[in-house]
Amino acid sequence: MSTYEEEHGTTGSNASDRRDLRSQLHSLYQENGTSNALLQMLSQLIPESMQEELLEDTKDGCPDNYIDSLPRIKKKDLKEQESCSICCCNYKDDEYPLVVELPHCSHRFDLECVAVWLSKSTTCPLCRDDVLSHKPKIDVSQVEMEDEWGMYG
Amino acid sequence: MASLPKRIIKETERLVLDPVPGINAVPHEDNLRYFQVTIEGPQQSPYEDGVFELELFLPDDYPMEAPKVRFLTKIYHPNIDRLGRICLDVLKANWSPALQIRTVLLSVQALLASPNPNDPLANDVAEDWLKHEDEAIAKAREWTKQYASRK
Amino acid sequence: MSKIPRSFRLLEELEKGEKGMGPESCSYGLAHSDDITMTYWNGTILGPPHSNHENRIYSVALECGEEYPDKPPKIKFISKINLPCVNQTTGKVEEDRFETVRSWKRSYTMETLLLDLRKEMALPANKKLPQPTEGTNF
Repeated sequence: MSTYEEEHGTTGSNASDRRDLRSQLHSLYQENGTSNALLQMLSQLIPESMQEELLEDTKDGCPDNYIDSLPRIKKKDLKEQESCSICCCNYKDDEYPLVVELPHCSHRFDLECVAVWLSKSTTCPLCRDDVLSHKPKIDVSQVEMEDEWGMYG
Repeated sequence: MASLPKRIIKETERLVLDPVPGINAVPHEDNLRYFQVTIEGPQQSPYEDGVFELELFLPDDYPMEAPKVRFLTKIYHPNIDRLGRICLDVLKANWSPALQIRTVLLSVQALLASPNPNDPLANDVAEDWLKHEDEAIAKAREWTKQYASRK
Repeated sequence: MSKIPRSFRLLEELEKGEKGMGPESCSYGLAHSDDITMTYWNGTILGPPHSNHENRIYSVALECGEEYPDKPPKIKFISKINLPCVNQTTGKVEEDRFETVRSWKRSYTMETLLLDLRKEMALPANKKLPQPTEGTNF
């Protein structure tokens, strides 16, 4: 089955290193609540072109690690005719469906589909719930990262 | 041309096989992302008995990006400007990829049923609407007769 | 890439023109703001510096036909100008003498045309051509 990205001739992850760094910075920012000062400070460590991207990213879209942390739905828990409302395809048409559920409203989507949407919006496509309005769970990878960043502290 | 995403094929099939009452949407043969649309004016609205022609285009990024929709028939409405552009939240900031061509067209039909002069696109029309509602509605009726009569 | 239809392409160009995102050296807009077919447009070109066109503002009329953007618009200078690609009687830009029109591509816009006409004015062979009195029209 072709993916959203294939059908639309776009590529998802370019400059993945930069994205990693960006999302690390972003989650650090989130952990510290609304302290914009931290973000400003950190952003001075990176080139100007990236600063813009970073600050822009805090306005729209969810951080990559939020998207990566969405709970997956097992194939056996999917109903026969259940379909993704973004691509309109039945989940079970795919031998290995990769379906996720948004934590608060429980709406389900193909990971590939919802990942594209959440990279530019923070709302559930079905109920418009602001997915980031609930305190995000921070995944374990943050722990290592904090050590790394400690050297600037 | 790149192949058409499955979703667009499915939506098109459903529009043809299970059409929405009062709404007709058919893709152009040479561009399957480009639809010729007609919407009947809702009953009890100034647009009643009118048939309005529109055009709709699904951009490359659809459904991550909203369809582009425009009236081709002249219409007197505070949220539709002289070039047929429509001020409708679901076509802009409130777009969601779970919406479809059919839901968008239903929203346009609903906009005809309840004009919103407080969020205008056509400022002169909205002003009329707020100051002299009766006259504005009469004018909308008149334009419907003049430009949107069933052929 | 899918093919954007004529009207939505023209609306994009109009919005770009209205928002003033275009370059300052040229501008364009609908000739009649209620022309739902978006056929007739007005454009201006600011004469390039270090040429006989410096500080002059040229008006042009553009006509985007049914087949735009597959086919180029027709362009006609309203303001008098002496350029090899402009018919000296009518002000029309001659298709076979203006490369941008001759090798027209769908991705070109009215802005492309106006900017390329400006480049034409600045060509070494053209920039010192004697020009008609400023403010006269064809």
